[in-house]
Amino acid sequence: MFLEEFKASCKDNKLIFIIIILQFTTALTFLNISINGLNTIYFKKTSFNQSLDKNYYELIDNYTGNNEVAFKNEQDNLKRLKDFYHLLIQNENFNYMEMSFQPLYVKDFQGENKFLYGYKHNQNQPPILLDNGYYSYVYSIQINETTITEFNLKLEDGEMFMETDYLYHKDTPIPVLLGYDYMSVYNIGDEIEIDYLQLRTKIKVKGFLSKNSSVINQDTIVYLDRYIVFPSITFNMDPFNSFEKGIQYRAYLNKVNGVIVANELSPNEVQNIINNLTKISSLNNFIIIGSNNDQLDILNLQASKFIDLTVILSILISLFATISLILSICNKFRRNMKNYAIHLINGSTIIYIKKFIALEILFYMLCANALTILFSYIFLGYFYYSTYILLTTVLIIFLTLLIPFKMIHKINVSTLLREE
Amino acid sequence: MLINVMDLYKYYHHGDSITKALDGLSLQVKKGEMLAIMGRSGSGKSTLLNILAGIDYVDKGKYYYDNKKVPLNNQKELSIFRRDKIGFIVQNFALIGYKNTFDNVALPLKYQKYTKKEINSKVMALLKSVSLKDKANKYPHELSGGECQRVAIARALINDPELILADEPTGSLDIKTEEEIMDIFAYLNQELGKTIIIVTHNFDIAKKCTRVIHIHEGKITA
Repeated sequence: MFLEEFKASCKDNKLIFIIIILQFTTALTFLNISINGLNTIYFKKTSFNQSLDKNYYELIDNYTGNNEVAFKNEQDNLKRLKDFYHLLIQNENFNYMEMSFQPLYVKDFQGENKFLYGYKHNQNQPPILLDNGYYSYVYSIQINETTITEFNLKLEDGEMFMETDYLYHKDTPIPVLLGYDYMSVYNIGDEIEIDYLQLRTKIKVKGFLSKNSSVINQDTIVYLDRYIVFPSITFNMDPFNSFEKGIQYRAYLNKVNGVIVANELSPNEVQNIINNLTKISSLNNFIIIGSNNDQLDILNLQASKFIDLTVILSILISLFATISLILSICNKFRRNMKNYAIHLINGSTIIYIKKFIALEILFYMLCANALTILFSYIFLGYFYYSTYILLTTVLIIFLTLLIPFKMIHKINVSTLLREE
Repeated sequence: MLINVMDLYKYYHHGDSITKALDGLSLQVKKGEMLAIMGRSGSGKSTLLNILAGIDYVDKGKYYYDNKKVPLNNQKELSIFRRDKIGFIVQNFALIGYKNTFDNVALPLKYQKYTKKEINSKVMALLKSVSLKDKANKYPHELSGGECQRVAIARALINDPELILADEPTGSLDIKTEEEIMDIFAYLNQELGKTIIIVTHNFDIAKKCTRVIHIHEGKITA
């Protein structure tokens, strides 16, 4: 009986039925997407705040031009770089974060152009022919354990790097993590042929980072969704030949161009420590760029304003949607009143009619919530349903039921039955 | 005595003013009577019928049906009383537009535990008796006024009530159709022994009833 009446009621007021569902869906979708955005911004803001509390010092080598050529020709350059690197990671006064944005060449790459190095600046490079195949130059970052901890990088799927993953073993694929967008390109366990600093090897997909994972580089947020995240590998063995020495040399040069995280030290103290370490390693061409959080401050301020604005907008839209929904529902039930009167003279009760009204509103809400989840997939690229939407739904159901329930108690059957 | 109402008072409030729809009205109706209630517009005749049907409330007074007090303040019991004891017919037929003839007539049965088979046989038998068997799948807008009123009568009879209350049942019909409808009422009263109370302005209809009462300003005057 319930379903029969409900179907007939919807069929009879088809247009109103569709309008109400669309109203609910629009309001809930807006809220759902806003909340998702808020969560993301809030998460980022929290990350900013964490970063604001810390002092970052970028370590940059000064081996350019003639200096670079001269240093490259020095016999013990690799040893000195390795020494310097070990002094950096072993220093107890600060943490050393490795973060090198060195792209990789990937063989027979099947991903979209957005993964290709230069895409952000519309400067995609075509694949190049290397020995036995075509290699595409894709975005990649090499990081160490400190970077993962500092930027709270989380996994969507798979496993995080282990200590042994940072050690290079010849003939063993290097485990990598892929950015979230790579989930449609590769699977966990896939092995991919690459060229990294002329080292021809294989990488093995170990996991995928969560959506919107990011790091901060030179005061800029870098999202890693399109990056291959490579462990900043350490070579324990000495190179067998000059070719392998070249590979290790380039790798270590990248590794020592990292970031010092020193919360307790003043810039001068950091400078003194680095000067001392470079002296011990017989390296003297390093400069330090002090931490400068102005841009983060501005970003933080902008994020706070955006959050406030979105919260206000969401509240206003929810209120507007709730009021307009209540009006639409009341209008619909006013139209149904005569039918309710007919039901009442034929054996129905007020409680039954109330149940029927509640069922109808519940159905609208179910449809709207299902569509909201569907739209989240369309707009966000993944299914998202905030618990706030559920709470809002319950609140709207409660508010929407109040008026028809009051109306049904005041129903004047005899007057309604006389209506044309 | 099937109906015994005593000292019914019913007031309508319009801002500061009060209209006395029923002003201490008392009425007794025997089983098998066919009673016409006449009176001007606003005299209180429809209000009385609505109270007898259990769809309107009284401010004061008592209502006994078959020597049992009608629970005027208990919604659930009142709905059962309406469903089991009363067949209600109004001028505008009160049919649900999105239901066909069959479903409109079957409506009271759907609030009880009847099987589909039972509902089907009861409704079809009744539609046959009011010559609407071939219109079972038609919707109200596809029927004439007389046919709509016959559907409403069939629905009022589906639970086999003892009492049929009709508020201006022929008010929207032409003379020929009015006679057909009144013939049905006469049949129900004389052949099936139903007690019928009809509210009407029409003297020709009143003449066909066994008793006529007049109401004026909420009181029976004749």
